[in-house]
Amino acid sequence: MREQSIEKQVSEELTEYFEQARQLKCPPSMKKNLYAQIGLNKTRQWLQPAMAFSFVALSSLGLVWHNHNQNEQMVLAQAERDMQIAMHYMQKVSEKTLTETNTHGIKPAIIVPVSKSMAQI
Amino acid sequence: MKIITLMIMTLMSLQLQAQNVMDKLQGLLNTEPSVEINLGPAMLGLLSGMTNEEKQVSDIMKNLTEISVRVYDLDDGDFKGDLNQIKSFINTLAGEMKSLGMEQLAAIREDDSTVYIMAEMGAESMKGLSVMSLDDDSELVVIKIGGQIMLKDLAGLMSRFDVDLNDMNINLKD
Repeated sequence: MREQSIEKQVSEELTEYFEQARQLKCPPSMKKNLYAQIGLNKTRQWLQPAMAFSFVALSSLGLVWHNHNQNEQMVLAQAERDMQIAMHYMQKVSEKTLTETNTHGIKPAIIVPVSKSMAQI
Repeated sequence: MKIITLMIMTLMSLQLQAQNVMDKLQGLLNTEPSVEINLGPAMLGLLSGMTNEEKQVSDIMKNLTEISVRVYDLDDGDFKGDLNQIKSFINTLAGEMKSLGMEQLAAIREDDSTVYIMAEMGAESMKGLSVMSLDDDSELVVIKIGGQIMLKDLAGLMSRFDVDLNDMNINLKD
């Protein structure tokens, strides 16, 4: 009878103790330490994937920009080359025309502005 | 209203004419050009941006809408056409261009050379320049430059892009 009473008393005391302990709030510093001990970190949890995603996004963006830039440079180089060829033929025909027209005197009044223009070359 | 419609139709016919010259020649010669260059407004805009530091050249390029070049080698084995037919075609074409209101700036009619420089004139400047040159019965060059063109600008442009093409890795006949 006495043994049962002691057990009951212990049980009640323990229940009351744990109830009190449950109601006590864990201090933030202790909480932080506990999280740290088990490897949980609020900041790190979202930061790591975000950093990885940002890195991938930035790398992709850099790659795309580099390719775009390179393509544009190639197109520009090709366009300049085309322009040089076009002007080469333009000059060739113009020089020929100028010489021939001066020789044959075809429409000298109209040719004068062209010849002046060619003389600047 | 009638005048506007007429002007639009004339402009459209000039555009069509310019495009047709290249197509008709291709059909007549029945051979591929050794040089084919098509620079449209987008490409000329890009080039204009590239030469921003050279303001004068950049401004000239901004006013251009088209530069097309076709060069046909007529003395190689591939060409089997009739040279007289080509000369006749060029003469007829020049006549058609004149009838459409284009100005003939220069013309050479010799036994071995036929050259026409035709200009589409605007109020203060040229709106287009077409060059057809059959030289030494061996090379046919057709050039079309579209856009607002001043002759002095053209000289500047030619000067800016004047390079020794022999340095470039292309097969050009001098």
